[in-house]
Amino acid sequence: MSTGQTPLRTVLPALFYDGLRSQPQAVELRIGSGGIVVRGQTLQRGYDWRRARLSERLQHAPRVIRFADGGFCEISDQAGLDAALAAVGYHDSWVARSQRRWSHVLAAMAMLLAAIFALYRWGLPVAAERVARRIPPGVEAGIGTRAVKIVEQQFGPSELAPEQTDRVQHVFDSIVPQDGRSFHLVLRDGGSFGANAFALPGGTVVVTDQLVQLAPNDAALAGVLAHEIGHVERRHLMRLVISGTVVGAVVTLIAGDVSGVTAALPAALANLSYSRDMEREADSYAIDLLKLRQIPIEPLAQLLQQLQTAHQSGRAPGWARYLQTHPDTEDRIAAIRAAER
Amino acid sequence: MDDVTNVYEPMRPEPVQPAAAAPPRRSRVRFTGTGQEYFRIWIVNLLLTIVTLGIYSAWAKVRKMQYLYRNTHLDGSVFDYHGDPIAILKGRILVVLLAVLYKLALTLLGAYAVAAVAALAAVLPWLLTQSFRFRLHNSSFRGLRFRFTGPLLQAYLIFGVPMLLVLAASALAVFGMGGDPKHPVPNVRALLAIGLIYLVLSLIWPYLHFCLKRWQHGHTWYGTARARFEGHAGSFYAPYLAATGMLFGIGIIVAVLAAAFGMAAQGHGPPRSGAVVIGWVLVGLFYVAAIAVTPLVTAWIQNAVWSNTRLESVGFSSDVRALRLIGITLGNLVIVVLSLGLLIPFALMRTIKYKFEAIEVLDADALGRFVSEGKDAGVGSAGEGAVDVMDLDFGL
Repeated sequence: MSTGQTPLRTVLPALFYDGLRSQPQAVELRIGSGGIVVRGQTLQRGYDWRRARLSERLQHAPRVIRFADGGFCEISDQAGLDAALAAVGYHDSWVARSQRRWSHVLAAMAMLLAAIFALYRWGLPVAAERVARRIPPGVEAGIGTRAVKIVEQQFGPSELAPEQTDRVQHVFDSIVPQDGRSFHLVLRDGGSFGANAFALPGGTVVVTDQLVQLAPNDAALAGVLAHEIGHVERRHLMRLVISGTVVGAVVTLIAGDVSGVTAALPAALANLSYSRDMEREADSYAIDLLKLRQIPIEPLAQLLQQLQTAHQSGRAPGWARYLQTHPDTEDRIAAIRAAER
Repeated sequence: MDDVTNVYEPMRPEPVQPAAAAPPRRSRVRFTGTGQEYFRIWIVNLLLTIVTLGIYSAWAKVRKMQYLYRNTHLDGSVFDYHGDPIAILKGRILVVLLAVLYKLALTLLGAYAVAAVAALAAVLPWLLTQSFRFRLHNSSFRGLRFRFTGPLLQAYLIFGVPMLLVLAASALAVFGMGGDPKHPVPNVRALLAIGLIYLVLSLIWPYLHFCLKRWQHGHTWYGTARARFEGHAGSFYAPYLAATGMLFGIGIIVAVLAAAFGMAAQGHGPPRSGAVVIGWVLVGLFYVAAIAVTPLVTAWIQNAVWSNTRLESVGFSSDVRALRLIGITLGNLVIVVLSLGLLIPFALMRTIKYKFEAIEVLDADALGRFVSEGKDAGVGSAGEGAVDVMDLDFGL
């Protein structure tokens, strides 16, 4: 059928624009496999199909056929055009066809949810871990130095007796892994934050006076310090920053059409799940390190219990667990005790 | 007055010579995009974007823009979008690179982060100008392209002034505080200066918004015709004043209610959960109020802008009703949150339909008298990604 000229039987009303003036001209279109003929009151033009471009089909918008000379037609008679196109064997792109069918759209939705879930559950954590491992130590240390300064501004200096400070430092030195990374211990007055400990990028572990006083013995202290060392070793903070950025970008992509404010909340919620995973990872790191150094694990479980009482946070209701940065303390204690056996 | 059917005069056979004083024929914009159709495009766009790790987003953008433009009807014709996905992709890569560099600089440089912000501020006006240019050069109606020739210098003034003020305030906040860095003592003079800067900024903000719209609408071309913008800064102060008043009013009501409940709760010793819940409800109320004032500003400014824009003999008018737009926005917020985001396309179509269909062309017949200025020059799309990232929608 390359040269066979089918008679141009299908006639469609259309608006023609020449690309030079904004005046539309009412025309009749004749569509055949050989070409397209545009005929109006003052014009008659023939066009080659191969050099014409047809817009996608939309429910309520006219379809546009653009010709090589800059002229184009807007055709509102969708059914008539469909029939004419079917007669000459024209097909839309697969994306355009999928967009029209609800079955395909539902399948796309299922695939979308699966893809988001897979990327969120497995893809992003692995990617964040790999990227975090490639961050040069100097860069991480630089970020850490800044963070330490902020901590020193936020919290007052430690008011522990010198012998107590020495004791904590001794416990810390006895458990830090000898892997070339330089670890630092910083003691500060927790103020209204109370008993707490946290790790900063680059190897700084911050412990508040209140936590030191709460710890019943050196083993419990070692457990908390090992947990924080776990955060450093596994680069949890950098990983959270990376995954948080990506989650934020994806949520903005989906919800950005509506409002930036509404988009911030789901992004924050999504990142909290990573945070809880990392607490579990740090717990299991601490258990391994304590076992290696032959320090009993049970005191850590006891200290967690005490911390929970100190912060007066009862067991959270089921739904509220998704709002926490840390896993449920009862669950953590159970996991630690299970590891001991 | 014996012939009552005279009111149907226009239905009579057309006179050979149209009356000179006949009022020009008006035509309202019609938007035919629907939530259920756009939903399908949106889902497929999202899937392909995620599966290709973002690369498809440029093609998705073109599909979305074409859907919006082709469903925008004016006097029997539709608009069209011609953006090249590859150009958009390049623009997006540039913007992502800039964002990463900015974020890195911010985390690494510490106190010198002000320099990173300044560097970003230096490229931002250029990016935004490029973005407006790209969008307009790729928009067409009846085969004629739009163009944007807004001077870059004006962009630097319009965006540079507020950024400089914010930078100055941040620098004061970082360096201006006296005393021991470990225990910063609030420096009264620095605090006053910061307050003054923000006061000046809020006073000139409506004027800057006016300058932005004048810059955009006054340098837009359709074929060989250049649009004129004849608005006044005063009409930009009104919506901001009204919005501020509304926020203050609701803030006072919330504060009074909070105080009343606070006093009622005091009699019962320790804070009760009921009082806490009421406190959160009040905070939520204020949050909703803050969301509700944005459509008020949008509505009044759209009306002020379009009613004062002319394209040669073609005038426009816009009659967005603020209350209606606030209702639509709050309704959208509810359906989007309740559907966990699934109804975003419906919300978007509803808002666009209302905003677009508020615009009317005052002389529809004159729309046929424009001519093309010839071959259009290519435009880079470096900025096109930025508009999306920063959610600065130019509208049509």
